[in-house]
Amino acid sequence: MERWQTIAVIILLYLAVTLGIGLRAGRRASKSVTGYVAGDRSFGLLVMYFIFGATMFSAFAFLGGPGWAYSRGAAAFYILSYGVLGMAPWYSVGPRAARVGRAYGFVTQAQLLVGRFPSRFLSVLVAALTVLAFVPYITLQMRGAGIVIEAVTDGHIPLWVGAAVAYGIVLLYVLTSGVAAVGWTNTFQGVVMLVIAWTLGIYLPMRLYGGVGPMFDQIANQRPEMLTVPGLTASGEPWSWGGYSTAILVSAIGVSMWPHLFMKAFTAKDDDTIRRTVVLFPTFQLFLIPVFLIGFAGILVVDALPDPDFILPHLILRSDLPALVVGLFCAGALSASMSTGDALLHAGASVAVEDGVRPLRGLDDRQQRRLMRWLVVGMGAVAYFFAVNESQSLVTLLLTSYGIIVQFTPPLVAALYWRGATTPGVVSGLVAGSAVTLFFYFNSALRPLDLHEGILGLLVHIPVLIIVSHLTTDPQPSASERFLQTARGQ
Amino acid sequence: MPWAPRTSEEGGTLKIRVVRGCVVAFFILFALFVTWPGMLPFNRIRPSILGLPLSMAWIAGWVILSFVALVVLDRAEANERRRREE
Repeated sequence: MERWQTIAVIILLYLAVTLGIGLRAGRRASKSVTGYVAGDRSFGLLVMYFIFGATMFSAFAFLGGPGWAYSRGAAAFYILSYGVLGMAPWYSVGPRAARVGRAYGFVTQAQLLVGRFPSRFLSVLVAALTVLAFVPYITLQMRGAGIVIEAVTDGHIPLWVGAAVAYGIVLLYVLTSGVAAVGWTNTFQGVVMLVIAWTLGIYLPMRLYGGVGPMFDQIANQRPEMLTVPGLTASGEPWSWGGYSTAILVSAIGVSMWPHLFMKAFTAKDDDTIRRTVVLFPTFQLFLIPVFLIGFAGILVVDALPDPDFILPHLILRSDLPALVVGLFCAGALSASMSTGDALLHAGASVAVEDGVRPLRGLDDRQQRRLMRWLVVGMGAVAYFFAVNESQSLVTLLLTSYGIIVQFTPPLVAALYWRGATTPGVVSGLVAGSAVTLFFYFNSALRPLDLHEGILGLLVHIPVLIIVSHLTTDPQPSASERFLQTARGQ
Repeated sequence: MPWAPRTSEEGGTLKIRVVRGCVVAFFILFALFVTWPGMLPFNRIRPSILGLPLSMAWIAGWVILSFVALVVLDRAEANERRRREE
């Protein structure tokens, strides 16, 4: 058997194990919509920890992180900077969201928003923006899966086949078991990712340069521009401070607002579980250090790759590691891509049905589950189209989605903390913020100081929310008061 | 905890407020020191720390300190909840 075939067998075995865990978990969860979407609100700390970790550290971190470190140097440090900054507020926001979720039976973000600000338009708008932001994110994960498989099989299995096979499996377990499968497979995959990242991050610099210190000494001598912020752009020019700083801000403000992460507040067993996940989060974030080391290791030994996201598989395949380790690496990266992809597909379809369709026409439980499954397949197909036809870097894809996601922060914070917010204020803020973001996304040359379009959107969004709220009155002040009291846990 | 000195309502509330304030201040400083212009003085390759360039070690240091800050906050909040339940 040739080497790549051995590796392919190892990967297949791994995928079989993953599928097995997912399907087993699914049999235990209940068949109701709450069971499918919110996993019966019964996840403990261990599972929550790895769900959060594995969901955030997707193909984005595993392939995109090294890809950026390799091609853009210190620009990648923005990823290390934003995670903890973004998750820390969740210590307060998460339990609040969970309390109103339990009390009112919410399973999505839009339901929470509409619970405080009754408006069908708001619900549908949030659903539409969610799906819009999810498409590049799912595309990223599929490309990631395809990249790994193509690289490891030496091109014998091209990106488009690899992505289709990996996502076929994801579809299978999302369709059959909902979030319970997502939880248990993420736990397993989270462990695999962590072990492999640290092993490679230490091993590759040792093998290629004789250690981490000597590696950076050599880069400092030959490519010093790679080691100071803000690093380079995709085309190799120096990146701007405005672009770098607002990449951190937009990601930090937006990160906990991703529907697939936010909705985890509704699946948590209790508030303590959420708080502990936040406290432990920096330990997961440090996993980016070995990931960057892998990318930096490529700078001096690999001539410019046409697609820098291939750097990690490229390096590991040219090392003299045994096929078993290479296979496990590939499985780790695949698992990273798939675990996030399944959470995204699941959350995207849930949001589209719960918030986009149900407010407009009634559905019974069975119809709703069936529609959700069709949407999972539909979103997967759209993302697959872009994954095969687009070639933006994985990190750039995610950073683009953040422009939309970050617009969810002001309404959700207002819903949970601000007594004075009104429905017209929240709706007009969200419309204005999203419009400005989209405008600057399509006219990026007009952005002042190279600021991220999502931040420009917020600069309009927040004042509009505040001013319109002040100019209008809350028609149900007692309902809002009750909502906020529930959020505070009184 | 019978051996702990009983704090007045204001005293306990004051303590948790101070801790919360400090943690919030910590994260604001974190944000300021990893973006422009706070990052500038630390945006150098040398001295290297544990083999990492200073720029990278600086940011990693903030992440590690965040863990400490969050543990402190969590302890204080847990005490506060216990106190309120008594």
